[in-house]
Amino acid sequence: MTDSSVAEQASAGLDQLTQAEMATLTRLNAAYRDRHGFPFIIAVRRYTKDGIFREFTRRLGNDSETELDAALGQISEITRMRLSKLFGESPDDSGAAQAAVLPTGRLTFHGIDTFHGETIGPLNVDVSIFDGGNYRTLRSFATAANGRSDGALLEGAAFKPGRYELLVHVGDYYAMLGTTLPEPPFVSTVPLRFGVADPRERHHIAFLFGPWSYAYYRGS
Amino acid sequence: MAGITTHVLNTVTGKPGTGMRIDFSMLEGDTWRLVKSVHANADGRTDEMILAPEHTRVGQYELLFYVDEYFRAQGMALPDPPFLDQVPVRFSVSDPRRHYHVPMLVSAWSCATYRGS
Repeated sequence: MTDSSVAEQASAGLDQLTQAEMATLTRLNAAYRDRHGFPFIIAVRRYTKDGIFREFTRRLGNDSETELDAALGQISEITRMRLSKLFGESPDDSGAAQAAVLPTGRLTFHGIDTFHGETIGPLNVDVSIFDGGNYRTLRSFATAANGRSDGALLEGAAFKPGRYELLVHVGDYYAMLGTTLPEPPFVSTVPLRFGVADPRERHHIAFLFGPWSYAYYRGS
Repeated sequence: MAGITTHVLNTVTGKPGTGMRIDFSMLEGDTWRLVKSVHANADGRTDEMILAPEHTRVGQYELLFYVDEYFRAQGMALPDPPFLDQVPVRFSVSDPRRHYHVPMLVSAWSCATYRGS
């Protein structure tokens, strides 16, 4: 494999597979080549390990004409990412030059305290992605003024298809404000789970919360 | 009345979330222990209370709603992975002498919960 391939496969954890995962991958590779007559091609930097296995299984069931289109699309994606890297853009970072090359999907968040009528002070949130059987924390952040995330939480190649969780520390927020609530409070650490099928689209998670209720939805 | 109850409402159709699977767990130490798995009935409620008053203690509980499975069974086309799949609602009971009614109002792209009555 080329240096680029080695680095790209490591980015998705493909250099650290268990024996069972390795066996599955070998079986999928053989089945795919048997069915379609060419090897499975995927822009691994765009996916988590779980995402790659899911795509592999799904695409195995496609007809070969569809798969030829998919493979060409993936090759073009790989080429774009390698080119932008050559020109000094990290494919995992955001950046104006990269934004011109790659689609500009992003994940943003807005938490609104409907008890006080405004979000006063920071709300702490942990961002995780489901990968390898668990939610793995990608980053933690405190909201900026008025409860919004300060810019994108994830964007560019760092924003992959998959299952995400935002763990919002509502209990800590009300404790910080000195709001009188029963102990333990009804709403405390709130997991907001959601899937991202197409990270090229904007995903805005709007979260309306109070001490006794909450709602979330895909906003814009 | 005391204890824990729930109610699933499909906000796309305005109808009860009949058939939706709900897993109920309680936090014991650091681990969530699955207590029961039930399905919403014709009225979107559960035939038995989620947790009877005599078993309800101060503590943390979770209702896990199988939203994706429900909407797919209704014939709705959804992306993979869907926006909402299994939606956990975690809440605490601070006074077991009181009733905790914890409904789930849900579409494929939004959900809401609250302490009702």
